Amino acid sequence: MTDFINIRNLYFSYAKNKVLQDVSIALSQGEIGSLLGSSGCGKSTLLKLIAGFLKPAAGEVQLEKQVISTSRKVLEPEKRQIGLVFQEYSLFPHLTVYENICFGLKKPYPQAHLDKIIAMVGLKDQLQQYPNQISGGQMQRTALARALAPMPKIILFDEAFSSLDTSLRLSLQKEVRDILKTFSICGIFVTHDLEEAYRVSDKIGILYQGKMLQWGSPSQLYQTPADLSVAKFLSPGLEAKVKEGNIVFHNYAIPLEMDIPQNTTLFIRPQDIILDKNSSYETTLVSTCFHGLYQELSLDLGTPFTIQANLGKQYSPGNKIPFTLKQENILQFKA
Amino acid sequence: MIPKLWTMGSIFAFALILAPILYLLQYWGKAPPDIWQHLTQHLLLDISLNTLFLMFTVFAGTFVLGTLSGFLCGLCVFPGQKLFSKILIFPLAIPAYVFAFVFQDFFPNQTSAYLKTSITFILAFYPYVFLMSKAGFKNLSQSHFYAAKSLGHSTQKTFFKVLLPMSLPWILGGCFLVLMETLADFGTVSIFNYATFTTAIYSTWYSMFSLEAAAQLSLLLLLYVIALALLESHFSKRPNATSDSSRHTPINFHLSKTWGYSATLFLSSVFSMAFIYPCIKLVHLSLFAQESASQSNWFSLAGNTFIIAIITAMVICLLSICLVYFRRMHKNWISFWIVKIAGIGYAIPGTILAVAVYLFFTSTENLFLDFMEENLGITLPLLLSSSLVIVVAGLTIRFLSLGHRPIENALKQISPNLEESAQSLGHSKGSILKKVHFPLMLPGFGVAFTLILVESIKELPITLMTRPFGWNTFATHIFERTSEGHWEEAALPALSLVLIGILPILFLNKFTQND
Repeated sequence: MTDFINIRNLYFSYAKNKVLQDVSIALSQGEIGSLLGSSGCGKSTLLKLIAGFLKPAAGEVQLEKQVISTSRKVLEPEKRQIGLVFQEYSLFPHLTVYENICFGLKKPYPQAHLDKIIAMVGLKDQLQQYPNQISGGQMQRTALARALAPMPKIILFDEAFSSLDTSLRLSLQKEVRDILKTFSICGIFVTHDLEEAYRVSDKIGILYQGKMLQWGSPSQLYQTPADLSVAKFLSPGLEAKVKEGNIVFHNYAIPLEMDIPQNTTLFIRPQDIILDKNSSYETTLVSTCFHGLYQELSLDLGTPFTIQANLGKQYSPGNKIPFTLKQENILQFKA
Repeated sequence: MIPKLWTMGSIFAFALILAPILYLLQYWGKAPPDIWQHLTQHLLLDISLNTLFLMFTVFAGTFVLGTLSGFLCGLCVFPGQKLFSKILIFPLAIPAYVFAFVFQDFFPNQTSAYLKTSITFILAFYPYVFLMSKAGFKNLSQSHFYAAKSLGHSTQKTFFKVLLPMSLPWILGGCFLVLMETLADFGTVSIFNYATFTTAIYSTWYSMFSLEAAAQLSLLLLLYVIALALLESHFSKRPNATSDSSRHTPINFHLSKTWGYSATLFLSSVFSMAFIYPCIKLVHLSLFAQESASQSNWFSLAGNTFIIAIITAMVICLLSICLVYFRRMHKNWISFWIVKIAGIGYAIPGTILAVAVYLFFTSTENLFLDFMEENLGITLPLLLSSSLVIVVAGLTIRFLSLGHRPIENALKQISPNLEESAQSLGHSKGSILKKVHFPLMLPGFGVAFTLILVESIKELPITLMTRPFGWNTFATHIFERTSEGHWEEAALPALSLVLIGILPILFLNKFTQND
């Protein structure tokens, strides 16, 4: 598939502060991407550059093969057909829900199209109400409908679901993905919620201190993270080293069952630790937490380390508990 | 014991405000027929139209000037923007009647009183609109701007379709304050000889000696006020720009060099006209009047002014404490309305209040004196009308809400949990007040006391119309001297008022900066 939006080697600075360095991402038509990263890593800046509110220091943004941003020229935001949805909804408080939805349309309004969008977001009964008269979920649906109505090429979501409660957030994430797919509109989500990124995205990018550490499909990122920091971002884990044929961490040295070079850094994720009665390696069970289908066990592996398992009644906090490693799944990074 | 004190104090405040107003109402239609006929034939239409024209012009002028300066300081970045944000409210320190006498010889001779009054009011009152519109514009979030732009609207269109409408309730709030001040003004219109309701009330009382006709005119003016208050409450219900998001990022338009320096030049001109020129003129006149009587009796004027203002501030602070505690302890509709009604005085022009309190207190006093003489044979001298009681009562009614608000806000900051913790540690309600509430509310008291003090010092119509014979303050002295054309003799007291008036402005700047 050809790239619908293509961001190439983008740089941006605020005064001397380098906010983005050599960032490149691409999405095909109808694909959904997420930008993950901690606060201040440059996620929202990247959205502003895509939307045309900021000018890059270097690099370019292409939309449908047309260059819309370079360090010399930036196509005005109002001419880009790129929609925006914010965390704080940013509905116009002096306009009704209907007027908000129609704000990006020219008169006469395409009523059939509007009806379809309104039905899709489920706002039929709130059209004449003002934003301060509707709930948070309805406000976010209005913001989505407003962004969808002019049928933009892309919609950018800046922490769009983070102020909603969990159940609403989960249902809206699914709805929004379905709607974007129905209209074959590209979406880029900025979030710090890994679960949200997994749930809505076809591609995920990890931004760290203004650099794109990796851009790829969720499974690609999870299974083959580009480096240790990506792995750490995607999952909790224990860092270990290969030394003299052993996997070494804390006070443990567990013999390697595979051929891995000396000094390779390993990243052991919770699912790589298995409780095994026959194992000679033991750890202390610090605490347990009942979760219905499974239990969350906190183990003392140098640092408290949490795994999910079904534990028999024979163990209680303070007991020694035997474990082993599922070595074939452990991530490896060259020293 | 203490809860009863709050209740009694609140009921006293409620009665103090309501009784004179209700007493005034019974004067509807009681004006002497000959005087009323004269007023309706020769004056009523003129003053009604004059008032309306004045309100319209001042509204338009302050809307444009206040919104433009608010837009520049609230949304734009240009040389001097931060400084102008602070100093453009300085003209609030100058009472409108001081503006009037400063500008008296500024206008060419043939300038109409209407134009002089309008321009003076616009310069004196635009800071209300500036302050409100700046707050409204600052509350706008960058994301609203981005959302509108991403939906295909240009910056100009976004301003007129989104940013301005979202700030409109704030701007109109400022404009309504201006209109209230315009309706209430007495000094400026008197100095420019522009006949409005307030001048008509004064002349009916003092020239035609008919308090009944003055009361009737006051009630007509009250209708204007009520209409305005209803309009204001209608517009204030419109959804507006409120930033409740922790992610709120204000909008900053970086003006180009040409536009930036044009903005600096424009705001410098406004500030020069509205503050620097009046101050220079006052200093010049004060120096020119070195040998004048104002110089020698300045201390006596200052003494009188401060006595009234301090007593008023103390009374209001006490009543405000009663009201806020009464409301805190009785969360029902009765306490709601008692507190609400106790605060309506600020919306009523001083001229109306002067007539109402004077009529009410002198009538009550006369009834009491007659009763004492007829039933007990005791002849007592006039106590109320020859003392400061009526002035203080009038000022208390007018400025009660001014004192009530900061004290109420200070108390709101104190969580009920704190009270319950102190109670659980064995403290009585009185002890909690002394050891917990009072120290925490002290800044609120400070703000309330300062605001009331300054406003009482500047207040003209109530003091002028209800003061004991011969008792002069800065404000009444300025009015008397300017009425007689002795401008330079009014300068030093006027300059003193401006310097005193700067105090709350500095407070306000500090507060908005912290905010």
